[in-house]
Amino acid sequence: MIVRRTTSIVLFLLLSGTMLTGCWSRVELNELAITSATSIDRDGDDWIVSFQVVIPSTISSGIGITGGGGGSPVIVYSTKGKTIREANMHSVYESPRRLYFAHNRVIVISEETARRGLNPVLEVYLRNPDARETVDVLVTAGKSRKILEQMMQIQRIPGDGIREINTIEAENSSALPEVKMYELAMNLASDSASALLPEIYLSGTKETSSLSAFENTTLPSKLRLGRAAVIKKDKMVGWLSRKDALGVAYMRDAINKSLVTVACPDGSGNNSSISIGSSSTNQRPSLIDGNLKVKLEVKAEGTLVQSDCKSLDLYKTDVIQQIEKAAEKEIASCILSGWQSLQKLKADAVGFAGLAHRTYRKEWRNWQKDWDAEFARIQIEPAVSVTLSNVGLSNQSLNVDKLREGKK
Amino acid sequence: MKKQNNGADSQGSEQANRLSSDIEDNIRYAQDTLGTGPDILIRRLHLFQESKAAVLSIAGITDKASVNLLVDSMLSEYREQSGLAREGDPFQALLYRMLAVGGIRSLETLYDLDVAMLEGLSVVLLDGYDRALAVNTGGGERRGVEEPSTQTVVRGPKEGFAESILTNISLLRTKIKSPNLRIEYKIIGQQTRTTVAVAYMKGISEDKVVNEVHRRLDAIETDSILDSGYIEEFIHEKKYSPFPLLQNTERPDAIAAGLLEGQVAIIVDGSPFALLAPVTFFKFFQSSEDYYQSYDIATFLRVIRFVSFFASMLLPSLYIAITTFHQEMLPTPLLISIAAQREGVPFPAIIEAMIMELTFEILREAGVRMPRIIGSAISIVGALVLGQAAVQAGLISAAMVIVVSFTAIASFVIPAVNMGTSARLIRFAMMILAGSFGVFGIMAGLMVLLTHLSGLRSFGVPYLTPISPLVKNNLKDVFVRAPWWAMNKRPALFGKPGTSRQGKQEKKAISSQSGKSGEEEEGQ
Repeated sequence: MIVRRTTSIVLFLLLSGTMLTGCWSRVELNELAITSATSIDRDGDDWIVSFQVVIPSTISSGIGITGGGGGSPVIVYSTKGKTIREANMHSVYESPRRLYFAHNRVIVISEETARRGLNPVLEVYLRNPDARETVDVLVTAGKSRKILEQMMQIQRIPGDGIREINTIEAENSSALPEVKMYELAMNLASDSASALLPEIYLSGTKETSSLSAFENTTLPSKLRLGRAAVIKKDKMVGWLSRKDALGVAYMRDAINKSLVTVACPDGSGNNSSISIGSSSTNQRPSLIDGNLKVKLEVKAEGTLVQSDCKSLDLYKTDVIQQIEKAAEKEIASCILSGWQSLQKLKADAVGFAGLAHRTYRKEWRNWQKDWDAEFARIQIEPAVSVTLSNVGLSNQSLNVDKLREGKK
Repeated sequence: MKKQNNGADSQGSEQANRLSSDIEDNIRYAQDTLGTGPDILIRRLHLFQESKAAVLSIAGITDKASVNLLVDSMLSEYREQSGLAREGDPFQALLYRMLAVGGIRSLETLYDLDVAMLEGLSVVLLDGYDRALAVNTGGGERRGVEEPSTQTVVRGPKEGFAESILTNISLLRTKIKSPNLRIEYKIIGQQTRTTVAVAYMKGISEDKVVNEVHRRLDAIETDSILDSGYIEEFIHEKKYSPFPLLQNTERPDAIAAGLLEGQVAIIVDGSPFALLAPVTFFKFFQSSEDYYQSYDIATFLRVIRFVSFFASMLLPSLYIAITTFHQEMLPTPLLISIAAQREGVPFPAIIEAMIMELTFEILREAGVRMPRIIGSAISIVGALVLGQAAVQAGLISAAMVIVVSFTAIASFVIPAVNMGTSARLIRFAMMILAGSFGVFGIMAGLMVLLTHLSGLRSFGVPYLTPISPLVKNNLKDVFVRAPWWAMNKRPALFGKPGTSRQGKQEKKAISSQSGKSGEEEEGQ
């Protein structure tokens, strides 16, 4: 009897659980507004949040999907509020569906917002479980909503496209980092309190916010990655050029792949390009007169991918060494110019503060009080070594005249 | 015999009635109970000058030639005389000197007379004797040995059990020619009087299991056994479980393999499906063919079967859970693709899945029951109307159709049909859980299922052996099928532990032999 009663109680509880369905977090896919990109602008003290919402039916045109095809793949709208979340909430006044941020790929922050402080943005993303902190953060000069409105070639969802551009750039050129929200938070919370963010901007004359632009092979405007924004203590302090940013990447040991173009040793004014396949940087700190000096040992390995030099006999080791030397010089100059820009901005985007904290803990207590002053006194010494491991399929520069002679 | 007494009351009194010494009384009794239809054959004879005799048989269940031979042997005057001269007594002369057909037993009561005739025996009555002789003239039309229709293999024996228990046992005996193969018969069912055989290997099967099988079979009290399915439900342990607790097979080779691993087989007359007990969960994922083809592909297929089992059980529920609760689990392009398909669908995912799953179950049931000639109509209706039209009409998303189709196909991969059926049932429970609680619900459901599985036992053997409890030696034939030369020991769970199948040096013998012969040649 007891067994039967327990079973019936358990059954009753289980069944009543299934009746609760309506109260649970069940959301059908067609009740969701899948946000692919978000942007944040400021208007006075208010926040303007823009959403790029995917319209699924126009993206995938399989059978049986009514109204598929022609329309714009995304729709952008903005809401305003005293806080970011309030602005988000105001979307219910105009959106027929619940905003869904789990698949938000990028967040674009306007320069104004960045200069006024990123803390509220970080707070929103780290507090709420529905907004993922793996979102890519980018900065744009001017109004950020414009970026979301821009259509993209090939990739139908612009938000997704921006993220792809960012990823591919970070993998292949390594000048601008791909920074996710949690990385930004970690960088800003570290001893150096500085971070770099990639810039996205509209190149071209007119906005491509209509599908009709895709009837042409060239677009009047495009989304493009530009400089790197330097963030210090949650506020943006300035820009780094792409070359400087690449130098900083070498300093930070954040190079995946890159490309170095050097002038020919023969003085012809032509250039050669070396694709850097792997690079590692060793930061070796030392104390000089009580100040920090960092020796940056960069070890890079690359492939010669193009050489326009008149005569180049790659069988000879000294020719190879010449090219290597030139590449080393080029990289060192990148590093130095990046370093100068950083010192000018007083932003320790390399993370020397952490290095100092780890290696000179006693001195760090003093430096910590005024790290900016100490940062300005830091000296660096780049020691770059490039190894050309592969010269491709030819040991000569290709020259049709020579080829013809060779035939005779 | 006590059991039969519990049956019809009228039978009880009749059973005690002895045969009359008047032959006419006995014939009248037989006609009263069995009727006077055209199949009741009564051949009256005059033997030993003027003493009346009769041969009673039922046409259709007896073999005509045997009955004729029986009658013929009785009508031989020479036998009559010499028999009478030697034995003195006509009845003894009949029994020992005259009848040319074997399988003779003596009958005492009227009830026995009926039973003997219904079993296909011919009854010989002699006037003046209150006894009768039953002669085995069994026969009649039965299906012959054919290729099994349910568990087909590409490579391996193609013969399957038929309905006749004698045929089935002969198939088994030709596979195992060992005196250790013991077959014990019993009759179950007061009305159907079905012959049931218990087969086991002496010395390999655990005596306790054999005794337990006998005990449980003896405990069955029912009026009819028309298929081994009746027996299965009567003798397995837990009365309520979606999982099969006995294995059934149409293949004599599967039964033989089971016997050699220590299982006990139950063969039921009239059913081509024999039962094997005890059984474990993992047995249902083994196909006979696993052992006939090379072990690498057998292992691969076994993994595929386990994956399919879980797919057929969980795929629709995972689809429901992920699309309605955990959209963040999907990669963005996939999410958008599914979202696009679901755009016009008016139902929630759980309703959509239920509709499609039920539709499939209806289609499948229709396909099984329908006359084969109109089978193609079903496939057209199923494929066109439900597959394509439902999607085009925007009622069902294309992804759902894919999920349902995959689930359906996956459920056919499991070699044991009854295990596939349990996955089908559990699927619906899982779908409701997924629709209510998401992946949390599925995990809770799986937990309950695992607890249930761990608690199951088949004839005392834990259902999840050899995983839980872990029996290391048996692992060679669970998720992988080890090569034959590596499976030296019998699985210890059914039979007596540690009995070997083959000498350990089996594999070595081959390699060392070839090595030795090479050396010898060099030496010479």
